[in-house]
Amino acid sequence: MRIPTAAIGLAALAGGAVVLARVLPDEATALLLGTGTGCLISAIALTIVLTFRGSGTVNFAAGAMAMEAAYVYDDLRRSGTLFPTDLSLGGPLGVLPAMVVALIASALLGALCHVLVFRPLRSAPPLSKVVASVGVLIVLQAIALLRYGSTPRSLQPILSKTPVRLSDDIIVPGDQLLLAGIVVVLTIALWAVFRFTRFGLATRAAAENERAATLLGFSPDFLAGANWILSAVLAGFLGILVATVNGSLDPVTITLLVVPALGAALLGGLTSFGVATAAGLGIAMTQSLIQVLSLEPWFPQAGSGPLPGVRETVPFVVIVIALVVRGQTLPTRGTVSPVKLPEIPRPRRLGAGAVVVAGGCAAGLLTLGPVWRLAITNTLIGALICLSLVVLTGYVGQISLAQMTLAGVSGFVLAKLASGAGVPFPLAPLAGALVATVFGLAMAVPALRVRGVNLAILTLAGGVAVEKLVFGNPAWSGGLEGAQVPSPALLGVSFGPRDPSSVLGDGKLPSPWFGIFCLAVVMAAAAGVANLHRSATGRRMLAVRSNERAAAAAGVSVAGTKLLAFGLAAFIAGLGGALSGYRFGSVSPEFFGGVASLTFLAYAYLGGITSLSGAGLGGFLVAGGVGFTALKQWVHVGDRWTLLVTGIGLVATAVMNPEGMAGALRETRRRLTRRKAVAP
Amino acid sequence: MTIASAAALVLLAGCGSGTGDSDGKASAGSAVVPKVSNDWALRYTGGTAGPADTKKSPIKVGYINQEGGAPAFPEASTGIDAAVAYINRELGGAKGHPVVLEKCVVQSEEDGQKCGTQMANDPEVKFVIEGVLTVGNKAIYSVLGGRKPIMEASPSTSDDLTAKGAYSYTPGGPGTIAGMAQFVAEQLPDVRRVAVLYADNPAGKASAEQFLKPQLQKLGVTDVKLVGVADTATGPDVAAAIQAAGGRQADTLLSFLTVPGCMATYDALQSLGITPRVVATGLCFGTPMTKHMRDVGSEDQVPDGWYFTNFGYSYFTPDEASGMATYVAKVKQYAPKNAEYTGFAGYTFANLMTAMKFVNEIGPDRLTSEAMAKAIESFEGPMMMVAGPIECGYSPVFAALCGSQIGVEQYKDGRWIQVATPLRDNAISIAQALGG
Repeated sequence: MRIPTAAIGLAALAGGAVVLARVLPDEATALLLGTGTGCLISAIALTIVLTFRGSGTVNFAAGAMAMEAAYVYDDLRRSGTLFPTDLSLGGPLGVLPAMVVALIASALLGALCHVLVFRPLRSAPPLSKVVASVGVLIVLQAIALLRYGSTPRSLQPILSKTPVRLSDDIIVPGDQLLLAGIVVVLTIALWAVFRFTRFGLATRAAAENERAATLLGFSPDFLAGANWILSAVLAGFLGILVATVNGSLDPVTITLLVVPALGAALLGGLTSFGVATAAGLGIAMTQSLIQVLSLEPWFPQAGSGPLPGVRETVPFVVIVIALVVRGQTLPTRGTVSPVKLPEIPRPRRLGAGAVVVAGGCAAGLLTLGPVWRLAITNTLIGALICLSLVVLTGYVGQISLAQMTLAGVSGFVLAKLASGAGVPFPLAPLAGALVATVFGLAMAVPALRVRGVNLAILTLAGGVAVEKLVFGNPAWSGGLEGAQVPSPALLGVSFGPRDPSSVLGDGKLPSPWFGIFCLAVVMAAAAGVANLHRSATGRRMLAVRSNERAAAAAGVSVAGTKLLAFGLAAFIAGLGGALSGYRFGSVSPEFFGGVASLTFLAYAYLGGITSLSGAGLGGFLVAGGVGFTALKQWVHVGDRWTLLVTGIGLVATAVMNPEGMAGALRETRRRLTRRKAVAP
Repeated sequence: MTIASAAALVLLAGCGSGTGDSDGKASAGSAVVPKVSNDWALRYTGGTAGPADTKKSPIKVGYINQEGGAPAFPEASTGIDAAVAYINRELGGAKGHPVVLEKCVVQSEEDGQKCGTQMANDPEVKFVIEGVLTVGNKAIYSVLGGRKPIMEASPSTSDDLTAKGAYSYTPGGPGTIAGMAQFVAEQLPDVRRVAVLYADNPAGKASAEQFLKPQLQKLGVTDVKLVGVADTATGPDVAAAIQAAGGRQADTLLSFLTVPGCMATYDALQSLGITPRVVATGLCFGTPMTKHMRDVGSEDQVPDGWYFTNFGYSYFTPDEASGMATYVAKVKQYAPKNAEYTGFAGYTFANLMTAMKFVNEIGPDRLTSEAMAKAIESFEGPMMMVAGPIECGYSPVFAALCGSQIGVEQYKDGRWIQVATPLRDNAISIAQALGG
């Protein structure tokens, strides 16, 4: 039933365009030109749907896999070497041989992803799969960066770029039309494969019920692997075409197309090829139309130009509405998967632990040199944001990819109040955290009806929308001057990182007092979270995490619990954002962008997303934190390797130790304790 | 944070990012490798011929650049490394003291804070030269601003332009944009409708809306449509943006986008079948663009007929008087083979040469951050490889700007033509447009 719906949608789009072409040629041309980017989005969305149908994994690395294939192809075309190695195949290859070799390499990549990463995670919670695919994304991007750097490279076109005149007023590039045709044909082909072939039917059966599929003689593992290979080849094929239509290739542009592509795939319920394709086209066409309309005098203005971010926000709003309408307040019976969730350790010996951690950090801040003082401060701020994810994701099971955005809301409010309105410390940072809480509660509304990976994608899209619409608005970003944050001061004494201390430390920057202040905030927040865990509210959160239906049956207000968790997590992230503003003396949209939230979820997961110690270890791993400072200072790991190390660490943690480093430490301690107990 | 920073590109309009070709020659033009003596450089820096005395204590120069992630600007380091080698081996160092760089690399905001702190804490570092940064700038200025002077190669974010204690002898992005407006309105014939594509970030947006459009309108070009293009835009996005900006009806298209944006602009114009005059920044004449021209089957090194802005002098027709000939000769001598040497590389080279001029004037023994700041701020030019008088702080909006002129060159029928340049006494002054 879905393909007809998609077909009707596509036909409506085409029909609308024809009508528009007569009445409003500029707008019609904008819509048609939007199909170019729409095809790129749809292409990535198709591979996401294919992977999900085959293996139940939402592949955040779909764009990166497409990008990687384009690099392989281009290297083969230019020099005949096989990316990312220097292995020569005997000189430059033609289009077809290069494409074939590149697709074989893509198939190998798909097989590796399945065997090494996602097969071990078959029964893992969605979060583990999300983190693993983010890890794969980071690894692939790091490899491209290490091999080629970020300089964009040009690609020879495959499809003809000859202008196609559709009417007197409407001319569109030929390659965009051809790509659109290819995407539509592939969409129909995929639909047919899944509708009519034994392979497709088996995959659908396995997606519905693996045990039943096994009884019918199908191997869900084989099917998942085959679908991974198929989706990698598809990503590779479309990636090569997309890159050549794009005209240039770099490690970022195609990789980041995954954000709108996820939205398109989500509109198709992660299962409908047709709707995903139509949604990808629709998103880009809408954005293209908004670009034209933004030049009209009636369009909302900000400063001396059109309001920024509207293009990016409208599709997000559509996705939210669609998901919320389609979502349910409680999961239906049978949809709660019996996966083993990561253990949430009950906080024990908190007082002693707090004394050791606080004492160690304070001693480090007061006695170590500036490099380590800075690293400890960065670690503390990172730990605070990871702590917000412990509450939301660890305790309540809600995957949010917008925590850095919420931190940013607080940072920008702090800048506005402290610099613009002269609101003093500590009122300004508290107000910032409270506004972040309001945003967090707003984000919780769709979470009442959307859950799991869908919620993750929704929050990611929401984060990008807030980044563009709010942070990109000159009224918030401060325009040319930027959003400056003055040093915090109490009773006339400034204690920001740039206020040298004459009382303690070596007089160099950063001031140890700022680190001590961060430590106090982190310890207070950690104490609050520990108490929350031990309270009745905490138990309600754990109940919701385990099984929403069961929790509701037991009288737990699922909605209330989720709202509380989102609010609390946003407040903690907001505190982190305020501290970050003080740390840099300013706030910038890029630092708090939607994609930054993905990275922070990765840090929190690596550390251990269900425990206080995990948050601490997550902070240890953040950029500029103690972990990477140690790697640089002691092991001399260069900056260029940090991305690859992070990616590999993420994948390895997701596969081998879903409870993160903190979980591994707990397990080691248990083993030692058991050994001691059995020793004579 | 690298993924995030990768997505966060900014306005780099003022500078060329041209790169060296595989044979080491400037790719986008037939760059001559001039034979030069050291006379010009010795006169400019006040140095003495011969190598530096390695027994003397080194002069430590802070240097911060963005490298290793995406985007990265390693060519800036190529330039300054070549300058260090040249100064130490042939120009007598700084009054005999060898020059060493205290380097710090930025990939994230945290790195910016680390680098700023490193430079602020090192008492031997009296001033800092900055390559090109699109991330970490805020943190650097927050730590260093006012403590130690910072010489910028090419300001690329709004922070670079407004930071306290930062100085740019090139007019940077805003200067280029204001200059573009003047060039289009005053030197191009029959300009009625102008379509503008700008990099959709705070600096790009502010420059386009607050300077370009008003300046064009003030000069009589009233039909101006501005469209922002995201730094991570795809090729089809750029085609749609050209259409939205009225590219089909416009007689002139101004583009100040990133390198992929340059390629996409060329492709879009071809595939939409429209042929406005194009005025672009130096970002559009580098190696990636030249390779792209080859890939799409063109014999031209850059799009034929396009105009490109520069800072007054051309890498492709190096002259002696501005020091460009010295630069091209010496960077080829001291930079690694096949290294990229155009674009940002030239301005880090020129900045270190100019800094050595100040150090020689002050004297290494009396060198302090305050003395250096005073020397940088009071410098009136001529500046190596940069057009026009230098006057720091002339723009009330962009306090860091010191450079006040730009140039324009055109690639036509396989040759570079200097259209507006101090060599022909027709460089474009942008001081008035920027409030000076």
